[in-house]
Amino acid sequence: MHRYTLGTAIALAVAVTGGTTGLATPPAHSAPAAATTLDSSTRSLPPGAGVAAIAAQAANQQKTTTHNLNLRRGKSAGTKVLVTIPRNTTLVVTSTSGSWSRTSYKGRTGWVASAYLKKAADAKAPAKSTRKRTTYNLNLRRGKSTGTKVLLTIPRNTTLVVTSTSGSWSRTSYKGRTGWVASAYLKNAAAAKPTYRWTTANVNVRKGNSTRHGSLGVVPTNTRVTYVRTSGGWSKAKTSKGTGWISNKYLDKHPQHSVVVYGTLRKGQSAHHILSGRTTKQTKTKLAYYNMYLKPHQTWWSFITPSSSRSRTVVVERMDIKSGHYRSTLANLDKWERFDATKPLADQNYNRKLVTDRDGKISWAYVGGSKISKYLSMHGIRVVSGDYLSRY
Amino acid sequence: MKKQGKIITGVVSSAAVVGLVAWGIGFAGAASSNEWKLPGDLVAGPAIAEANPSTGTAVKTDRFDNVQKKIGEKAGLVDEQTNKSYFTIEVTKTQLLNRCTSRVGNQQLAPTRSRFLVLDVKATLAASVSEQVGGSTRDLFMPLVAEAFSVTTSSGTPDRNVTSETAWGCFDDSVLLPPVVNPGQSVTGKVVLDVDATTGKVAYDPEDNGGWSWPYGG
Repeated sequence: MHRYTLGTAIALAVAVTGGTTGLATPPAHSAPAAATTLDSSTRSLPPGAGVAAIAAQAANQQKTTTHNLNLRRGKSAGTKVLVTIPRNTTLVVTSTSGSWSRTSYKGRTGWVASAYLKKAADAKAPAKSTRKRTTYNLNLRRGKSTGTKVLLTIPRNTTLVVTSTSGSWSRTSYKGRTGWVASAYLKNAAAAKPTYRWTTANVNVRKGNSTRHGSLGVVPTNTRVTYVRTSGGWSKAKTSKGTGWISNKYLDKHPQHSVVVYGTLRKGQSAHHILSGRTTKQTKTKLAYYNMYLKPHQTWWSFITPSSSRSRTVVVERMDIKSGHYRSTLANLDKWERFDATKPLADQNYNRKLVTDRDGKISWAYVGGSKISKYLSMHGIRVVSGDYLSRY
Repeated sequence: MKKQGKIITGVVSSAAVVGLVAWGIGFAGAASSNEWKLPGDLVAGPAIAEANPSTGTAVKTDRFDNVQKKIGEKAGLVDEQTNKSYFTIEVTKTQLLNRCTSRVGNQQLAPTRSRFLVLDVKATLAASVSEQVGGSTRDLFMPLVAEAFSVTTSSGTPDRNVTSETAWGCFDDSVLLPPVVNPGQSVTGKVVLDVDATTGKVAYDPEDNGGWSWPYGG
C-alpha cells in the first residue's frame, strides 16, 4: 500500500511540476518533457505530500484552475484525460488524495493536479450582475448563514441584482440594505427588454463620451444598436464594433422608415418638392384599413382616417429616403404637415404614425388628427378608389 | 330674431339662455361618434339675437345669415344667465399678400388665385362650455382650420373655395392659428386663405349655414 502510494506520489510530482501530461497547455515555467521521467523528481513534491496522499479528504471546496488543466480518470498523469478544464474555471473539489483533487466538470468526474488549483475567492463575483427574482418572501441576512441577523424581508416576486455568490448564498441589496439571501429561493428574472437606437449616419463608436476619445470603429447609417445609458449628450451602446459611445446627434429612436404619401406629396403633385431628390426609391402600393377624404370645395386637401374594414384602401407611394437626408426630410415633412410630436395629437391636423402597407413594409404616414378628421369628414367626400389622382 | 327660438330650446334646452349673439356652430359630437356632429337642433342653423347682450348694440346680418362684425370686434356665444361668453372669435387684422414665406425651405409661395388673405384671429372656448352643450370636455372643440372660413365678394357672391396648397404652406407653425380651440383655451394666430376677390367679407362659418363676417380689403 505504501509503495503504491509512493509511486502515485512520484507520478504526481511529474504532473505538478509542469509535465505536459498534467497541463493541457504547459505554463511558461513548466519543466521540460524530460521531467516526466520518474527519477528524482519526487523532490518537487510539496512537503508531506507523499504521506498525506493516503487519506482522501472530504472537502467540497471551491477551487479555481490556474491553468488549462486536464481532468483525468485517475490520480496519475498516466491515466486517460477525460476533458480539459479551461483556466479560471471554478470547480467544486469533493475530495483530495495526495496532490490530486477529485472534481467534476461538464458531467465528467475525475482528478486534477491540486497544484494548479487555487482557492476560489471567498465570494465569487459573477461575470456580470445577475437579475434574479425572489420565489418566496425572503430574508436578507447580514451573513451567509441562517444564524445571522435578518436585515429585512424581501417580498416574493421582487427582482434583485445579485452582485456575487458564495456557496448557496447570493449577495444583493434591497431598500438600501445589502446582505445575503439563500440562492435556492431565487430564479432568473426575465431579461430586461433591450432598448434600441438607430444610427442616422456613418458614425464613430468611441471609447468615451466625447470626440477626444478614440474610435472603436464606424457603424453604418441606419444600424440598430443596443442602448445602455446616456451621459453628456452621448449614449453608451452595444454595437458591432464593441460597446462604446455614440453622440446622440446621430441616434434616433426609430429606424429610418420609409414614408408613404397619398395626396399632394405624391410624385408630380404640388407638395412633392419636399421629397424631390431625397428618395432612393418610390413604390406605388396600398394601405388597407384606411379611408381617404377630401373636403368639398377644397379638393386639394386630402387626409386619411382609420377604418375597421380591410376593403377600405388608400393608394400610396412609398418613399425610401436617402440616408443622408433622412432626418432633415422627416423634419421638413413634419413642418409642412404642422405635426409636432410634443403637442396633443388629437388637436393637430395630421399625426405621423407607423403603418404597414400591402407589401408588409412599415412606413410613416400622415394620418388625419382625430378632431379635424371628424370635422372634415362630416361633409367630406370619401374617395372611393382611395386614389388621390383619381379623385375627380 | 330669426331662428332664435330653435337655438334656445335646442342648444341649451334646460339653461335659461335668451340672447345668443350667434349660434353655436362647432361643438363636437359624442365621444363614441365617428363623425363630428352638431348637437341636436343646432343643425337647423344659427340663432341671431336682435342685440348684442353685452353691449346692447343692434345685431346686423348679411344675406347669408352671417352676423356682421368690424375688424377687431368680438363675436361669440353668450350665456344669458351669466352674461358671459363661452365661445368668442374675432378677426383682429386682415392683410392681402402677393406672396408668403414657406415654412419649409424659406422659399416664396404665390397664391393660386389673386391674393393671400391673411387673418389674425383670436378665439376662446370657455372651460364651462360642456355645461351649455353637454358632452365631455375632452370631445368638445371648435374648428379653426382655413376650411371653416369663406369669403363673400363685394358683389355678394359667396366663395367657399378659399384654400390652396400654397396657402397651407405659408408661415411657420408658431405663428399660425391652431387647428382647434378646446374648452379652457384661448388661442391666437394667423389663418391664410387664397382668394380671388381683393375686397369683400370673410366669414367664420364652419358649417356653411351662417356665422360671423368681417370686412377685408378695400
